[in-house]
Amino acid sequence: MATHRLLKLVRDLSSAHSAQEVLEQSVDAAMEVSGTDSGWVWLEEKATGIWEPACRRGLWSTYPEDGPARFVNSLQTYLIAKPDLDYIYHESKGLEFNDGMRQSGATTWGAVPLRRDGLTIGCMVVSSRTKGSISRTDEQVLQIIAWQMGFAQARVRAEEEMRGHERAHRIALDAQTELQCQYLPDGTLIFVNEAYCRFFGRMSEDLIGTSFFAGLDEEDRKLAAKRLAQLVPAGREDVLEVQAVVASGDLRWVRWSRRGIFDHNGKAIKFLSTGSDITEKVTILRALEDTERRYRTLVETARDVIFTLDMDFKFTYVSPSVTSVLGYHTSELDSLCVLDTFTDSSRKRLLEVYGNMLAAERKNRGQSFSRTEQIQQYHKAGHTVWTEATVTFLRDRDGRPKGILMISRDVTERRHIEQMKSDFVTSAAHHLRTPLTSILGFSELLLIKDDLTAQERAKYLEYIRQNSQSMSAIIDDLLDIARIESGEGMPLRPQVLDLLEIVEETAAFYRESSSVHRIEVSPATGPIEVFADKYRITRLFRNLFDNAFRYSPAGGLIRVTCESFPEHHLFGISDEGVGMNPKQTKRVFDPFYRVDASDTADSGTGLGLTVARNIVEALGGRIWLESEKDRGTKVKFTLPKRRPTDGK
Amino acid sequence: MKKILVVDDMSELRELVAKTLARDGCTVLEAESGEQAVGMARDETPDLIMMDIMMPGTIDGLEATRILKNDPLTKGCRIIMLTAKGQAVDITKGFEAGADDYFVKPFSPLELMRKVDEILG
Repeated sequence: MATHRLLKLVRDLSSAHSAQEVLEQSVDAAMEVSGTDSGWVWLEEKATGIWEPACRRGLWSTYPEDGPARFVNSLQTYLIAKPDLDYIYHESKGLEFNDGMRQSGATTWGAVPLRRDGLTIGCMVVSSRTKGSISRTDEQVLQIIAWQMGFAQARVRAEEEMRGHERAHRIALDAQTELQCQYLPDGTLIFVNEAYCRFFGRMSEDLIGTSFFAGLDEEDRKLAAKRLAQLVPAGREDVLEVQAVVASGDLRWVRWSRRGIFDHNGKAIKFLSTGSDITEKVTILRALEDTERRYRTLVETARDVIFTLDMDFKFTYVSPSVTSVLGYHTSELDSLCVLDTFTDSSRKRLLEVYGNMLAAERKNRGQSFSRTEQIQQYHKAGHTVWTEATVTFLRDRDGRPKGILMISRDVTERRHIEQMKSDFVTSAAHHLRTPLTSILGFSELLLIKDDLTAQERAKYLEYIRQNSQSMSAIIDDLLDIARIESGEGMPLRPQVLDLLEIVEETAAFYRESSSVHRIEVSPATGPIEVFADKYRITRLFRNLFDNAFRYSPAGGLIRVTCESFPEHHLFGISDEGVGMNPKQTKRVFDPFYRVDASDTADSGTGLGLTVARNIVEALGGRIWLESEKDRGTKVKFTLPKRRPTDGK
Repeated sequence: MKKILVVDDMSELRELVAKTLARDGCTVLEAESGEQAVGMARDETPDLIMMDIMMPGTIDGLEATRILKNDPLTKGCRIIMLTAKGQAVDITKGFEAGADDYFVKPFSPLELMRKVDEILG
């Protein structure tokens, strides 16, 4: 029974809101468990040191407030003198009150001292008119109750103190800035506080009777009235932010919280509005929005892709330019991890870089560093794209990394050009190496072999000479190409030439070298006059004959034709060889491109047609070719009849 | 009598290698394609093959080397790659195909002679 009551008390005390509640609940419980009919708590008044009655319950609640002074005084003196005592049990004939002996007859009472920090600060007393009614068990329970009361008191006091602070703070604040007014449903003001008058720079008398809506502009007025009509009893407050003209004539932002007072039919009687000046806040917010918008515009119009990622590489922002680089729409990336778009090796590389960044960060926190890496990413369509990504940490206010900023640029084209350049150099080196092998090899043989015959020596020297010539030709071609590509143009020494003569001379050389080919030139008689560089024209025809022979290994007819037009000559040179497919045809003029992919040393340098095109174009003509797989190829080019007037 | 097979699609280079390696007690054979090299190696089981890589036809020098090194009959032939392909990846590929040594063009005939002496003992 006692335990049950104690538990209930503990529960009650935990939800008690005031010191008085705590005392009353405790004393009631103490009376109940001890079977007594009266209960009293005295507490020391700090200023005077006198024990004052704090709580009276049961029969004692009908007694005079200051209670039995002599009894209390002696109790106080006794308990203070014996700080170790935690319970007094006493039986007496009666208690003497200030107004004389008011309670007669035998009284049994038990007193529990209340102590805080070792000091006796008061006492809880229960009493009964039944002799010997308080048992030993009761004594202990009473002590427990007194402790519990002490704890609860301390808690409640602390809470009250805190609430007091808050209230005081709020009151002070409100007094300074908060605008308050009341108005009728039609907007007529019936009350304004001082802050309101100050804010609008008018006297209270002038404002009462005017409309709350008067200071608002047309749109705000409509909105305010509409929202007011939506207010209902027990509904939420309405919050409205509007601009108002204030005392100084400035326009300021005010946030009004409004609630209505309604009659029992739910009809609004009046409205209470509390307003505060939020101009600074709005200004700051606007400024932030402006800044944000400016940065956003910057980010979203940039051609580089700007990603922000969380520390797990999940996208938190992607700029729209991602669509042009990776093919994804920004919304498609929301659920993706950026690493999903990387090729295996790039993912490995980036994780390595990220690991290094984290390690450096641990070593030297807050240091701003970024890394730039070339990585390969998958385009949505499946192919890969090379990007150059600069990765850096995004940090929180304390400088801790909280995300990753990645700015990436599409460098596929740049890499392609770099690759082509590198291929060009590799290829050039390779083609120089072939004749060089003969030159170095045979010259060394001539030096170290003393058993060579005179014929062998002559042959090797001839090899060396031929290969040197061919190297020299390749170098000329390379220099020409380099000059053309850098926009320098080809140096020419033009003169009036009979083109037919040159064709015949060249053809004669090739006729000798092959027994399976026939060369036919039409028209057979000239002259066909052009204004051109003899050396270049010879090179041009040699290159074209070389190709015609090389790509018709089985032999056949090689036909050279010339047609005259008013402005230019049109030349053609055709073979009956292996021909090309359209894809090959498209690339034949690229430096080092060779149709025979088997990479044989015999298939030429891959520069022939590139050089041919450069020559024709330098001379003011045009070159193209028609080809059919397994049927043969016909190269056509034009050369102008007249000397170019612009001096080319 | 040692037998050496020189494989290269360019006759001038075959001549260069053959002349470099020609000496008493040594026969030098020539092949101008991968296919021909494989056929001749099987017929003649040479002691050493000088193998070019880039050659026309369906079998290049690497493939020919692979075939010969996997054939019990020709497995014992020492193969030296002699090629213009001189990059690290190419050399790795050559050794992976089974080559015993790798020479890059242009080469010094004197060095090649020494290497061959070393290999043939």
